[in-house]
Amino acid sequence: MSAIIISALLGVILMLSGIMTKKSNTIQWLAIASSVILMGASIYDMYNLNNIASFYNQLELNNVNAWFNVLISFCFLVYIFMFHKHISNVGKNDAEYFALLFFIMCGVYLLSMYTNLLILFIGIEIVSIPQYILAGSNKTNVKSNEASLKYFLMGAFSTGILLMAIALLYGSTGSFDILSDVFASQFQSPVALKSLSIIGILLLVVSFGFKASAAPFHYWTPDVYDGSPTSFTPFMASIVKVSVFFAFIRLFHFSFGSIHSSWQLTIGIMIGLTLLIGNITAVYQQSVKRMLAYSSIAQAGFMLFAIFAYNKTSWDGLMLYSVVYTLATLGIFAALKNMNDYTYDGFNGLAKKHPILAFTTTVCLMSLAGIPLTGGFFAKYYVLSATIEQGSWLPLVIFAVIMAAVSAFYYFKIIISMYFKSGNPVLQHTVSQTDKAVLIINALLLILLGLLPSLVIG
Amino acid sequence: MQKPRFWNLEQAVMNGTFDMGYLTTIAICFFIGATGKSAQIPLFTWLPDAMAGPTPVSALIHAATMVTAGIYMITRSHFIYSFTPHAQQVILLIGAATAFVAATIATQQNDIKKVLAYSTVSQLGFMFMALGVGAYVAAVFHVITHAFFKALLFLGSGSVIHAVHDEQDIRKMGGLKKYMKTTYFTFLIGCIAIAGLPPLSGFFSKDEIMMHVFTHTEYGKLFWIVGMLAAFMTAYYMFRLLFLTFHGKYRGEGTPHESPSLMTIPLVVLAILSIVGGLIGIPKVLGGQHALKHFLESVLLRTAGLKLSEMHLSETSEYILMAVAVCIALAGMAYAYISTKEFKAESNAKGIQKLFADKWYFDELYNQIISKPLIKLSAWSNQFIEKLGIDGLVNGVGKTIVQGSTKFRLLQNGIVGFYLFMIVLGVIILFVIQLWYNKI
Amino acid sequence: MLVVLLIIIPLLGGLLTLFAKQKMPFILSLFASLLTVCISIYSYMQFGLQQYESLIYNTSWIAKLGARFHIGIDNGLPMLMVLLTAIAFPLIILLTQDKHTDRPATFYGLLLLAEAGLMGVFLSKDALLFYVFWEIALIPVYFLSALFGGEHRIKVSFKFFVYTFVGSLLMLVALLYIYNKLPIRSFQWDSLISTSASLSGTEQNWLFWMMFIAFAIKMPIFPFHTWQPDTYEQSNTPTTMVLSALMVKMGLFAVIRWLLPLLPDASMYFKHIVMMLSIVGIVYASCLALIQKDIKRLLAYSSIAHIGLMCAAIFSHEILGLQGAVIQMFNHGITILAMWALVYIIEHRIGTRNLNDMGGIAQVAPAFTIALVIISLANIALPLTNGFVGEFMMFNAIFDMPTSYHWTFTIVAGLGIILSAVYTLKMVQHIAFGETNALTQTFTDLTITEKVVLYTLIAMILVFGFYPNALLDLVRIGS
Repeated sequence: MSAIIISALLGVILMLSGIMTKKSNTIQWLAIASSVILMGASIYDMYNLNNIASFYNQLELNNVNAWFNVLISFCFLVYIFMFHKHISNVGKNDAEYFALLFFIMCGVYLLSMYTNLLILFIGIEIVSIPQYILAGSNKTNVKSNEASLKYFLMGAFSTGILLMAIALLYGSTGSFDILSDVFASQFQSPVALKSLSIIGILLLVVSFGFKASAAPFHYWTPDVYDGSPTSFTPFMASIVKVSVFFAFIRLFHFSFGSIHSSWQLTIGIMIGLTLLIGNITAVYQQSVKRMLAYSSIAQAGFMLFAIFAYNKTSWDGLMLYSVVYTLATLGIFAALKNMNDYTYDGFNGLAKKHPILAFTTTVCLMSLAGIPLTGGFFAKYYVLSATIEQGSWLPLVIFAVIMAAVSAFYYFKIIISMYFKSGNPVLQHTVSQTDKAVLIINALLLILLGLLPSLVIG
Repeated sequence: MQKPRFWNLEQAVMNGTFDMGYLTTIAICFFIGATGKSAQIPLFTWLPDAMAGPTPVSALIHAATMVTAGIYMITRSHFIYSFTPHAQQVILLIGAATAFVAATIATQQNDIKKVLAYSTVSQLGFMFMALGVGAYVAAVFHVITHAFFKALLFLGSGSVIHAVHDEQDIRKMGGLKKYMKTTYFTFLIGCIAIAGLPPLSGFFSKDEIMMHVFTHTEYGKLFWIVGMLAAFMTAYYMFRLLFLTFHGKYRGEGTPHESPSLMTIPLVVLAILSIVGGLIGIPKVLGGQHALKHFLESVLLRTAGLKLSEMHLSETSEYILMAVAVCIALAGMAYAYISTKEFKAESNAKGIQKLFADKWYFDELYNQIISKPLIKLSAWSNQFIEKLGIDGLVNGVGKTIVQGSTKFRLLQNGIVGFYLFMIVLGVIILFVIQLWYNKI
Repeated sequence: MLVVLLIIIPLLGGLLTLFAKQKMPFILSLFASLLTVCISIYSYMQFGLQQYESLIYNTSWIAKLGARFHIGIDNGLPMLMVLLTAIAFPLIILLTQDKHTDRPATFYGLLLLAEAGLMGVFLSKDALLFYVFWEIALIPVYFLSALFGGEHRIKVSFKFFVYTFVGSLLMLVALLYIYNKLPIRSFQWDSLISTSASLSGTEQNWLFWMMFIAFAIKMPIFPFHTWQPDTYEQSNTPTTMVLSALMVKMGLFAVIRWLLPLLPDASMYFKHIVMMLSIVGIVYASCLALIQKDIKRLLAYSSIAHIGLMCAAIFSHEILGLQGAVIQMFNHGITILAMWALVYIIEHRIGTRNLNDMGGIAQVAPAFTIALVIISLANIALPLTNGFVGEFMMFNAIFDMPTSYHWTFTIVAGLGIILSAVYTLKMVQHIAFGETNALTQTFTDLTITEKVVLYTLIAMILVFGFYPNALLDLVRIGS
């Protein structure tokens, strides 16, 4: 519980610090310190579980979401460590950017702990609205402005759908509280399901799908991720996205688990489309940043498997996938942010000039591709295993692994550029020793998770 | 299962473990192996080509011992062949054909070693004829005598080649008699032996084979005629070789010289063996004991109930056949003498001679029906199946993905209105599918 | 603990080597690989003494999944593969010592990492662990062939990578499927094979193809082979040695160790199709080998043909065929290693691999030629070379099969043997005989290290040719 409050407070403090000082360094240090505090708060939460709904039955802190909070806070910490310098370089109002990030974190915690549909709505909005601003934070860049506006327009659209879904569910159950008996009793068996509820659930799938950038609701993703400043794209693509997934699985497995047959097909189709469009389109891309945008769509396809499969393994899978995917995405963007040239050719010969950068990027890419010895393997392993446990959807799994092979195609293009081609990559910034250390720790973490995934799912 | 020892196999065959067709197939397969090793039709063309090696190697491996391994093998597995008359007929046919064809080719060769090589093939054909009629002892007998005189001839030819400075073309030799006496006389002995004049070794062994062939069923006489023709040609080409090499005038360059004693002594030894080698198998009609036959009986007759081919021939007939054989050999020599009396440097082979000179076009035939089609097939597979077909398919998958990528990319056209339209369309379609599935 | 060292030593050695400088990479890697040889030989002795417990290491890994770090040598198959792997690497490292690339640390480091991966594959008794090692072995080899090699190496090695990656992912799905059928959570070999009975026929059939394609790509079996000649040609020869002598054996190994026990009914059901593919592949690859000008491509196709025979023998479901294939896996590894060593020497002496540019080497380099001839004869599997026994056993098994196709299979496969003699001897002829030319005139004979490498291999070729019982006994223990 404390994480929510502290993140909001820290956001306010950071915002105010912008008034107190104009020194970018100070603000950066403050942000780092704040993220450490946030991490501490989420750990504190984990050791002080009440396991019952609190805050007028709006929120619940249990083993699972407390652990998720810790993990996501850790990822946030890594993000701030990696990108703090770059964030403050985006524009003049660096304190505000950090503040917005902390507000988003507040929304993230809400999303992981909600027990009420309205809190879900609020959480999603808290997460989304700062993102619209962050996407457009590079005010001098037309692409950034365009991204912001597009995100806002389409986000508004999905908000409408979400509200509609919640309204329909309220209409059919008479409650917002997903833990309440009236709510739960509606979703005991697929036979007695009201059509109002079904449509409500499907609309929920759509709006979650939108936020998670699942096809066919993914259209905003490439434009927004590509247009947003490189400092914020990884945050949007990783931390925000996985928290949406966590909210997704919470609702659908807790409340709608018993009636999974009535929404599974939709998700199955979405998985197929997402994997297909994300992976295939990524192949063509010339810009690494845009490719990563499509890759994030493709990865969402895999994470959807966790929603799709209704069993224990899928929870483990989503947990692991969230962490691994986030760390890998952060790691790649951390290298990308230093590049002058975002095309594949910009990476040519990186291994010779900056072996450490090349190595950590390689580990991250392999993790995204799902090669063993990196966390990505077990992440994919768990979600696919969960689906196979479900049974009878083997063709979809086979399709997914073929798409995983396609994904190796574009991920390895970067590795090929870095290691096998010669070139003279120019870096925008010098990579400091601390940066390198963070990157290496990040890469080692991915490898560690590839050896012992139980660290996350224990 | 019993371990595949020879004795066990023999027992198994005797007990009728295998049915006839199976056993015949085994027999034929063994024989095909033997045709390769012992240079029989259709697998004989390698032997003359293998004469490119040093002469002592040719003498030992390609003439005397190695090529006879096929004969040995079939003799050793005689218990199979004794039960498979069909296989035996095949062997007889192939043996006779080889003896004849190789002899015809030998008549037209001008390379001293090639003549000897084809002669080897031809002689091996005789041995196979013997095997084909079940005369294993005769075959082995010929193997032994042939080893003596063929080794002698090869080493002799080596001595000649050495003498004329590595020249192998007999048209460029001649008159060597006066330069190299030892070589000449030993070579002469070898020639007489292979032509089959008594009392040299070749006479006895070849004669024994021909007798057996003669008495073999109703076709035996036909094969006997073929064999005799081959024997006639053998005498002809050997003496043609002899006359062209050692008689007349020297037509080559430089001065020939006799080889050192290191080379001539083995010739003498082999010549003696070629003369007396026949003693181990003198037939009864000539008052001999046929020691070899008794020696081999222990192996060949071990299997109870198995009989070796026996001649059912009166003594008179035997004498007549021997006489015929000797006459034919003499005729061959005479013909060789006449035809080589006046040496024509440029003689264009015509008609059937050309067929012989060109080795019945076996090489060309194999080239046309095996080598060329194989290479063509390979090149075709390489181009169409490998590159276009399989690899094309594999790469095609990759290309399709890239192509698909350029198409999917068009969906992302940057227009928000279009995006929203597509989202709504997606929602509708998903709803329709899911609701239809739920049967609402 | 002993077997763990087989993985740990090359792994640590490889990591250390990656960061070593100057002459150190070579020394370090040679040391590590020799140490591995010692341990593998010690394991072999333990194995001979039937001290199987000392050759097993089993500890918890991911408890929640029931995946264990379970490795061990429990029969002749892993034993032979471990020996082959252990022997191959020091020889490869030794051979390449004086002509190392400009990045010896990377090169030798990756080699050792590949060794660690391969050892893992051959030792794993846990399916998940097996899969992990299966992929790990691929990565260093991919890097090796993409970093060092011909001009098209990047494209070609990438194709190789994606191709095998697709296959192994399918295998993973199949393994997961079987795993999920288990009443308990376990990836152990023993528990997995006990489930196979509960799988329905259709399930087994599906799973069979998913796994078989993974292995068929790796072996490779016609028509999944097209990555192989390109990769062999474009990789530098030491990498090709690893690929050809060891990596392709992973496919065969996996079929014997995993596929057949896991899906016995389906493997029986599809045996004719698999054998047909293998045997068509033998003749097809042999035909293609005939017209190759590049020695590496020639040997690549020759390798496809040999592997095809092994695969056919395995699927004959005859115990003799299985044993023959296992022996041949080892022997083919030895022979092909020696063959590639010769190719490496030729390549470095005269800078070309085109057969038409060679000739007359016999006149200038007798020791080299003798080695070439012996090794080529082993490649044809002549009696008294190591190749013969295995090949004989395999043919015997194919012929012994209780089906009506055994005649056809044997005869067609036999054609492959004839063709193998044709192309191998043609190669020898082109390389060693004929007239010397400007390139081959200056061909120097074997150096000391080359002699050490080649003579070791030739010694093995001859020893196992004269005394195959050494191998046969090992294999019998397993079956």
